[in-house]
Amino acid sequence: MKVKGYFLPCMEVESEKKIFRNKFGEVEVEVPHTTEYLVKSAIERMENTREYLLKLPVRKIAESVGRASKNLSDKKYSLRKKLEKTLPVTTNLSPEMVSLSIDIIADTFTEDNMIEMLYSELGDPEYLDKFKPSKAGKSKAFGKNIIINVFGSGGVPGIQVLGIVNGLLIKSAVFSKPDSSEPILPVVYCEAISDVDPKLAENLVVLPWEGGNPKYSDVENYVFGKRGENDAVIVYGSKQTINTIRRMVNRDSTFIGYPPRTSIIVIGKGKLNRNNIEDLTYRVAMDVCMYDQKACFSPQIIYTEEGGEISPEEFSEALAQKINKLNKKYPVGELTDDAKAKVNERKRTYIAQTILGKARVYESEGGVIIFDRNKTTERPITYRTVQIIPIESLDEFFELIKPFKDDLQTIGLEVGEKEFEYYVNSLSSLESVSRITRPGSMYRFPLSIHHDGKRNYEGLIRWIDLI
Amino acid sequence: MGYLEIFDRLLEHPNPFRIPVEEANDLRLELIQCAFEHQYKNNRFYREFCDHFKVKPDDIKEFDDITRIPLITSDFFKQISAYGEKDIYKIISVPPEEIVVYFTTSGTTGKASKYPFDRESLIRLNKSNAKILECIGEIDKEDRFVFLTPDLEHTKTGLVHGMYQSIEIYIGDKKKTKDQVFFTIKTDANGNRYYDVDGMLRFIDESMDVHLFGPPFAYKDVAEMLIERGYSLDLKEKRKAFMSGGWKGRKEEMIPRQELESMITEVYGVNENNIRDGLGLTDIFSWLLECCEKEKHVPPWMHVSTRKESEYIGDIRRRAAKNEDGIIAFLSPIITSYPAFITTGDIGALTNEFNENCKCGRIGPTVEYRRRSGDPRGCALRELEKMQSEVLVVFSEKS
Repeated sequence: MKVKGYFLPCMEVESEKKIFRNKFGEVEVEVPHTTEYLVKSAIERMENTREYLLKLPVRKIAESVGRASKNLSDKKYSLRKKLEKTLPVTTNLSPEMVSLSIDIIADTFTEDNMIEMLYSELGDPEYLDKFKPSKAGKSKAFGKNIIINVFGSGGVPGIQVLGIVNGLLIKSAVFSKPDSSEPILPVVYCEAISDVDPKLAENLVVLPWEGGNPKYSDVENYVFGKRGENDAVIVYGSKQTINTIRRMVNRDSTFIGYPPRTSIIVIGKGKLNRNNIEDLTYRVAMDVCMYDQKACFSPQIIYTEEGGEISPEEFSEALAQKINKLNKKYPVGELTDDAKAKVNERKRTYIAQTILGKARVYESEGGVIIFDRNKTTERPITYRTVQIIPIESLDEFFELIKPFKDDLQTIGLEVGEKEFEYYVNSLSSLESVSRITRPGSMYRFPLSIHHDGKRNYEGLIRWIDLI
Repeated sequence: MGYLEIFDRLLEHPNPFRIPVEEANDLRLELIQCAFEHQYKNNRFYREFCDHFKVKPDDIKEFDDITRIPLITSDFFKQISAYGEKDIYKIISVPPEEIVVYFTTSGTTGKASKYPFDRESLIRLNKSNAKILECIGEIDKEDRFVFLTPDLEHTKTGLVHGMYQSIEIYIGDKKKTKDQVFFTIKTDANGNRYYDVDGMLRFIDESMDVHLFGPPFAYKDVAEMLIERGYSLDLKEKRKAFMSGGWKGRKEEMIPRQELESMITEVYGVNENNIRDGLGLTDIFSWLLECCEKEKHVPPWMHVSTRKESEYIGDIRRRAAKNEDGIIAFLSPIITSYPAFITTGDIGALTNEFNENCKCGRIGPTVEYRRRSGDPRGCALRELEKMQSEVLVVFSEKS
C-alpha cells in the first residue's frame, strides 16, 4: 500500500519512497525532503491561514474535529481502511489491536468530549471566541499562534491525535513532527479533518525528519529556535529528546515536555477471592495487553497482597491464562529483534531464579508473566511482560516502589474500601502520580483528565481581562 | 583441571592471534567443551538450568554446537548479588573454600554484581588480559604509560586495576611497573581531585615511548587543558592511546568518536591507527582490544558471538550473520569458579567470522558493540551511542 508520510495542504514538496515492512505487510511511504526552506514556507503559510481559525467559533471547530473522528469509526471509510492497513506495519501492533485503537480514538475525540474538556480547562469554551463575563469582569482566552508538536517513538496510536486536537481547539495552528518510524496516523487524522473542513485543515502541518541528525540542524534551528513568545513547543518523548530540544527552543517561547512514565497495579488481599478473580484478571489483562503494554499508562508491575483467598502465585497463573485467552482476540504484535532480546533476557533471568526457588515464569503466546518472590525492582521492558510481586503489607508496597517513585504515572488500585483512602492519600504524596483508577480503566480515560498532572492548556493560554 | 593446559599452551605461543584458524577453533572447542562439562558436573544450579534447556555436555560435539550452551544473563548475577553471598554460593563451581575474592561490577544500570573467584581463575584472567594487551596492543616491556586516572589507592574501578595488572604481568616486575606508570589524577590535601598536567608532561618528556590510557572523557578533559595552554605533544609513531570505560557519568559531554580521535591525534601526538578502544566484557572481567584496523579481537581461548532469537523466545542458539545485529554472547572457559557463559542483552555484530582473517593479519572473530537492546517506548535506551560498562572492581575479602 502507498501512503503519504506528510500533510502539507496547498504546497508542493519533493519526496522519496520509504518502505516499511513486517509480518503484517508492506507500506510504501512517501517521505518529504524536509528542508529549512520548506518548514519556513509551511510555518509562514500557517500564520496566514490562521485568520480563518481565529474567526471560527470553538464549537464549530469541535464539531468538525468530532465529525472527523466519527468518520474514522466507520469501517467502510477509506481513511479508516488506510489506517487499518498501514498502522500494523508502522507500529508493530496487530491488526486487531490497531482496529481497537482507532475505535478508542473515535470514541474519545467526540464533539461532546472536547467541549467537556474545554469546560473543565477554561470554565467555558466560549472564552476562546469572545469576551465573556468572568470573576475578573470580562475575559477572553487566546491560544498560541503556532504549536509545534514533537512525537517520540513508541508505537502507541493516540497521543498524536491528542496533540493535534488540543492545539486546534484553542485556535492554534499545529505543526507536528512525527517519529520517523510512525508518520502515518497524524497525517491520516489531518486528512480526516480536511475531509470535513479543508480550510480548517490548512492550519495543520505534519512533516517528518530524522531528529538530531546534523543534516537537519537548519530545520531544527528554524522550527524550534525561531519560535516567538506566542508559540509553543511540546515534546512527547524520552528525557534525552526533551532535554535536547529544550536547549534548542527560543527562551521566549513556551516549552512543555512529557517524558515516558511507568504505571503499576496494586491488589489488596480482600480483592483476591474466587468471586472476583475472573473479572479482575480480565481487567488486568486488558490493561496489560492494550498497545502491547507500550503506553505510559500500561501496568508493568503488579503488587499483590498475600493472605487472600487467592495467593499471588495463583493470581499469576490465572492472569497468564487470561492473557493467553485475550491474545486470541487481540494478538500480540510483532516484536523487533531488540524487543525480543529484552524479553529473552528477562525470561532467562527468571528461569534461573526459578531454579533457585525464587520465581516462577508463566509463558503463553500472548505474554510472559513473572512471579517474583525476590521482589526485585526491574526496569519495565513491556511487550506484555509483567512482573508480579507479592507484598506482605500495604506498607511494604511503598518501600518497594521507592526506586521509581519519580516516574510513576497511573496506578490501578484494587483494594477494599477501608484501605482505599489510605492508599489514595499515600499515593498522592508521590509527585509523579497523576491518575489513580481501577484496573481495566487504565487504558481508557476521559479526554478531560489532566495530562501528567498538569492542565492540558497550562502555559498555552493567555487571558485578557476587561475590568 | 587438565583442559586448562590448552590455555597455558596458547599463552606460551608467541602470538596466539596468528595461529591457523582451524587449529585455533579446534582448541577453542576443546576448551569450551571441557569447561562446560566442568560447570555442568560441579554446579548443581547450572546443571538444572541446562536441564531446563535440555542441553548436556555430550551435546556439544562440533564447533557449531557451542551456541547450544545455555547462557546465564548478566541481570541474574545482579539479582543474586543483591541478596548476599547465600545465593552467590549456589553459583560457585569450585569448593567454596577455594574462593579468594569477590569482584563487583557496577555495570551500566548502577546495580552491582558480584562474581566469586578462585586463585587459579584469577591468575588465568590476568594472564589473558596481559596477553591481549601484548599481542593486540603491541607494546614493549620498556614502554611507559600515562594513566589519565587516579592511582590504584584512590580508585576501585576495574578499568584502572585491570590495565595496571595487565601491564605488571606483561613487564613481569612489580618495581619496574611502578616506575613505568604515571597516574595523572592526583588528590590534594582537602581530598579534591585534579589533573596533574605538569607532572604528566614531565613524565612524557623524560620517556622514549609513552602510551596513554583512560576513559574517553579524561582524554577530552586533559586535551582541553593542554589546548588552553596552547600546548600539544609531538607526533610519535609508536605512541598509543588506549581507551576503555565509555562516557559513564559524563554522557552529557560526549563527543563523536571521530572528533575525539582528531583531538587525541592533534593534542597527544598519537597516530589515528594507534588510538585503540577496548570493549569491556564486565561479567568475565576481560576486555577485547582494537587492532590498528579498529577491530576488536576475540582471543582463541574465548568464544564471543552474536545471536538471533528463534520464534520461541528464550532460544538464542541461532547465530547472527556477519555484520548483522545480534545479542552479544560470550563464553570464557578460563574461569572455573562460576559458569562464565553470559549474555547481557547488548546488541552487537561480528565483523570478522571465526574462520576469517582481519586486515591486520590476525585470525578469528572480531566484535563490534552497537547498543543496549532498546526500550520499545523509545526512551533514552534507543540511543545509538556506545555506552560500555565500567568495571568497578572491589576486592572484597571472602567472608
